[in-house]
Amino acid sequence: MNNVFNIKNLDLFYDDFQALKNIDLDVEKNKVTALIGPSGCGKSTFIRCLNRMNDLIPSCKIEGNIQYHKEDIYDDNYDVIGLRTDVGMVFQSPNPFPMSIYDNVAYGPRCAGNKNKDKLDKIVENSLKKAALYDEVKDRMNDSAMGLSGGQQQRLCIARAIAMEPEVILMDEPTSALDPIATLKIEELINDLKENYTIVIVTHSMQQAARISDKTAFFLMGELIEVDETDKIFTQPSNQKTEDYITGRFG
Amino acid sequence: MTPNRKHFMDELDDLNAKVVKMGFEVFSSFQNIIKAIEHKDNELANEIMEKDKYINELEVSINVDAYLLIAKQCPVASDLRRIISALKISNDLERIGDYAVNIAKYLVKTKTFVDRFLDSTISLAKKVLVMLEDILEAFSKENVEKAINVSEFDEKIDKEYKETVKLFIQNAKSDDEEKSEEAMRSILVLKQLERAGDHITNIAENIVYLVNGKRVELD
Repeated sequence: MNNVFNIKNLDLFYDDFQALKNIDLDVEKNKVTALIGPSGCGKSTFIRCLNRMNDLIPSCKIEGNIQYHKEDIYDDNYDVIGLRTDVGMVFQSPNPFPMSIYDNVAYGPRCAGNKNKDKLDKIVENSLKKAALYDEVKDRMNDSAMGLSGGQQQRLCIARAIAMEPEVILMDEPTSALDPIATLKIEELINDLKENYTIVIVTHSMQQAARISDKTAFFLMGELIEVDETDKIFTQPSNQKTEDYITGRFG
Repeated sequence: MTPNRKHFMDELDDLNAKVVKMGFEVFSSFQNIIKAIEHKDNELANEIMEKDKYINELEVSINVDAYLLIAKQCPVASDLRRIISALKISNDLERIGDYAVNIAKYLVKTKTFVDRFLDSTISLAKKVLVMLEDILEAFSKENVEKAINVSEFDEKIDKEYKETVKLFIQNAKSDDEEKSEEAMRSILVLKQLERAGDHITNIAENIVYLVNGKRVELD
């Protein structure tokens, strides 16, 4: 099995509150893994462990093991900046920088030391194309990104993540602030992106998980109840709690 | 820009293609039935029985694909009709395939045929073949008019079936037990072809539903 992440016995605490309990999960390369579950189940907390975003929360304490390509990312000597380059992230609300469309996408590569104009032009164009946004913005690259629609802004954020040539893209409810058509565009994009990237997505929409993911993991009250092929989860889940949740009988 | 839900559309196209493929496999079984009758070719009859396993597998595969699409894609409107139609049409095709098998079994078991059996059966089987070919075209092209024409053609099959059965019933009344039994079996064979025509009419109804969203009774 070609795994990018191997997570073993992961416990996570916010002070005394245990938000994740003994999670074992593998993330397969070039697959879309969807994390579903009710609010507060720990799915966003979990995804933020994968590029150490939880480091920013002082009360957060992690036990267990998260390996990225067989290396423990919580090792004291681990290169966190390198990890966040390899493991990009897209958030719930589109958060473009208050600058031009071009500069948004070029921001990461510039910070990484890339100053060559031709190279940057190429990176920006390719990233926007991969994010299925290029045709819509190619004639107004110097306009402010803030003038784009919500759906376009979110695709710009995906382009911004792609510009750093990550291997993995984490998406934390990337369509919850978007209308249904913009949502479908992002979903279609995710389907296209998995050829080149590994995607882990947190979603409140079970249907979204069903439509776009290869594997689905169901979280409940900090526990990973079940993880399996999406085809199996949505037709014949093994655990009754999963069945109750996806059929709407839960809670 | 990728059109919305392109992957889903591709999966729907694949499902349709599988139904058409299944249809042509059934069509080829009926072509072989005619050849097997004409040449009293038991080997070919056995092949028809063997191929039915593959036809059944195709139906199962269509069912699995359709269930997954329903479970995962939450289809609505014409997308939902397309999936429901694929399920129902594949079910009819499977039954039509079974009728070919029943006839093949009869051919293998039977040494002598009653008078006029060969001509009558071949005549009806050819009509079923025409209906099958036309209904598959109507499905592929979503042509409602053609589908309705095909269903009207079924009346010819029903009429010919009734007339032939009357003749065979006369034979069945014979004092010769063997001849009588043979005539009864021949009637059963003709019944398979008549039922195949009915299932093709069901397919026509499903094509109308697929395109117009309306349930019609064509008979």
